Amino acid sequence: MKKKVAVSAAEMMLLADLTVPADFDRALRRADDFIKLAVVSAGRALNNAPPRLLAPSETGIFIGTAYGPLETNFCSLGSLIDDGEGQISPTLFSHSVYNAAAGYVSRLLTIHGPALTLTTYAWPFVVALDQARLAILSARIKRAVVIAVETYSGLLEDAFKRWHGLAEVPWQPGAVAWILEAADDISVCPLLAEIGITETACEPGQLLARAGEHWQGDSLVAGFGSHPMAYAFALTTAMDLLISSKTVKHPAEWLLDAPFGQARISLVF
Amino acid sequence: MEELKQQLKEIIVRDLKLQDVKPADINDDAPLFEEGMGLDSLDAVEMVVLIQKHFGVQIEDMDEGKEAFRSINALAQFIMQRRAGK
Amino acid sequence: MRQDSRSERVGTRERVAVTGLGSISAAGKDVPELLASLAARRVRSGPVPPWLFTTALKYPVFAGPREVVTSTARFLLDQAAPHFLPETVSRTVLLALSATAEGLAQAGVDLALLRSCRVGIAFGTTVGCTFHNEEYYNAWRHGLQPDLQPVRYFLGANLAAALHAILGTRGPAAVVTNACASGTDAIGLARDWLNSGQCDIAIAGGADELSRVAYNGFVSLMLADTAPCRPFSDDRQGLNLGEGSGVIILESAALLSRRKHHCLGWVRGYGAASDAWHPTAPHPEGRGLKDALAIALADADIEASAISFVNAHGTGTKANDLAETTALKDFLPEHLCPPVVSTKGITGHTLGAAGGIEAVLTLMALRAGIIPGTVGCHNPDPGFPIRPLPEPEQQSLNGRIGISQSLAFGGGNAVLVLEAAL
Repeated sequence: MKKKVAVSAAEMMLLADLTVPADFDRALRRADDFIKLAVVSAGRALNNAPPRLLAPSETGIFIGTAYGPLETNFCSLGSLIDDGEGQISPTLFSHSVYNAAAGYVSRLLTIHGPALTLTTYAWPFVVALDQARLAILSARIKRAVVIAVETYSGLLEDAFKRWHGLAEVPWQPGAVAWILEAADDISVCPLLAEIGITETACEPGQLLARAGEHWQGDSLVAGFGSHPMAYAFALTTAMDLLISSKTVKHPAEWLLDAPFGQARISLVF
Repeated sequence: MEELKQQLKEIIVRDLKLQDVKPADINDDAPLFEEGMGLDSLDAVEMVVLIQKHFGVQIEDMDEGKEAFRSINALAQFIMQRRAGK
Repeated sequence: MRQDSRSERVGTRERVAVTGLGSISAAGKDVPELLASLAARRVRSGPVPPWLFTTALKYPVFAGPREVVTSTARFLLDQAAPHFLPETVSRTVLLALSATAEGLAQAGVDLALLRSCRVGIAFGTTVGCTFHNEEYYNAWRHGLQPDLQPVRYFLGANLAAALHAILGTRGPAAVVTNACASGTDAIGLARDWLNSGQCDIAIAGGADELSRVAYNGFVSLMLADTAPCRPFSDDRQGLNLGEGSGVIILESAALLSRRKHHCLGWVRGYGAASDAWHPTAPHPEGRGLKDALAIALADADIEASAISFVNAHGTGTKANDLAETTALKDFLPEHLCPPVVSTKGITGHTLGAAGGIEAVLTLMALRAGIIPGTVGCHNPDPGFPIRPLPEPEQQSLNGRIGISQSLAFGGGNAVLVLEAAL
């Protein structure tokens, strides 16, 4: 395991800013926002990464999500309740499965390597980054598209408001996408040296509220609000800055800390 | 019959999310699947549910579905025959 | 084979050992019952039991036992979390707990050891991760304010987090939601944790419960059979859903040599690849499966000729079984084709649990050196390019390395290379 893993592109996107490229219109006709965010953010990140000559099976997809395509899940429950047994929409049902987005990303961006969708409430993006890093270290793939996406759901928002007596929910639906590279020959990009995540059991409401969550480290700033995607937006903004500045830096460590655990990302240059 | 065919075209365009097609663009005899409208196997099972929902007609399996989904004409005829109890 | 099968290393890596197996499903509450069901070709499918959910549909399912907390799991719970209330977690968590308890008991791993190690927990699931409470949803969409308990329940249903909390352990956690390949992928990624030194021991596999939504979903997709499923059969009409959990306990060579426990076998390789083809249908020639097989064999550092057994996904749907046999035909050596078997005729398709349960079955078949044919298959489809082993037959295995493969919605394919110890 002497390989290195570099980050060559980092993109973030809010649902409010999502526009689907015209050439994906037909292929995404059945897709929900969850799928569209994953496909479009991954496509942009790949466009921004340096071109590499790789076979389609040498790139993998790693998606981290806390809540998955929950809105489509509820539409499919509604279809079962309203239309009756045996009449649930097969399109809604098949698109309510958490890995539906990974299938679309592989199809539309011609990625034939492994596609892994990981679900966890604390820091799903960091969990996905770590698995992508391990897959590259094991030499099974040479490049990975790592995506985090949340679209939440009206049901979850209402539950959260009632839970905490809030009038508004600060959640920001959106996605981030990073490109990881097997990087023995790439020297300008930040390298992911180590990733460690420890989750701690907590009251379920804390995972939604994100109270007490904070982060620190080189280029890592606050100001992304307090919601389940905020850490991913902060990491992505910092990573984009590190990639574009191209100056050699000393090793850095990013720390995420919250009542529900800790995560650490070590970077070298 | 014409009314039924119009209704089928509207259902196909709306419920199979064919944003790039207008109901009037669909030829009554053109094949709906693969080389025709470019619909696929997931659209086929969605159609089975849609036909049941809108017309109360059950398509038992895909052998029956393949016949019925040949074209708008074939589908309209299939629904009429089923409703007449044939 | 480039590798001495007795070596403790694959390439530059130490091999990851398997020391415990656990399983619960319609085919039995533990691994011995599962193996007895397979040997006796026992099919315990039937109408959906009313205590699971009510339905007017007639498609059979493979339901697990009503009480899913086994005596082994109860014993573990009494020690690990005496105040734990099983009714506060989902059936999926309890299925996973029972399989885990059996696996840990066989591995001879007690709580003291477990809590002194870094423990990785990786589970695959499909239904177990989502919010399928119809009453809550229906009340909410009609403007009511239903009791929030189902939301708490959903947020507490993350399998890996729930098991860490119950066991009082620390270490990496992942829930893989790769649809029907989830269990296989979970074992593969736990193997990566051990190889990279992120944990000393791992609990890996899959778990899923039967749900009214998934049951209706597969009926609407026209993939469910109204009779007991017949994988690879010429008259197959689709799958039957099942539920359960299958778990393997993995540990590092370092830990195993320190505590000197009996080794059942090794996870030698893992590969995954995508069809990039269609949301629900497999690639007709199994393109992604062939890629996954190639990656898994390279990862295991073996040639296809070293494979002595193939545990196929074999759901019993027309498209899956044809794509799978087509891929295997291109991949396996022409003259010494190993037996290809599906075990879903005794478990049903347990979705996220399938890869876990089948890894257990694969390793046990390799240890026994013999595999019974595919339950439910009396006449293998003559349209297949290879002939899977039918129910009336059984075959001796001429080696100790086999593969277990899974295919999923969305075009995911995952393959494990497993090797039995002497």
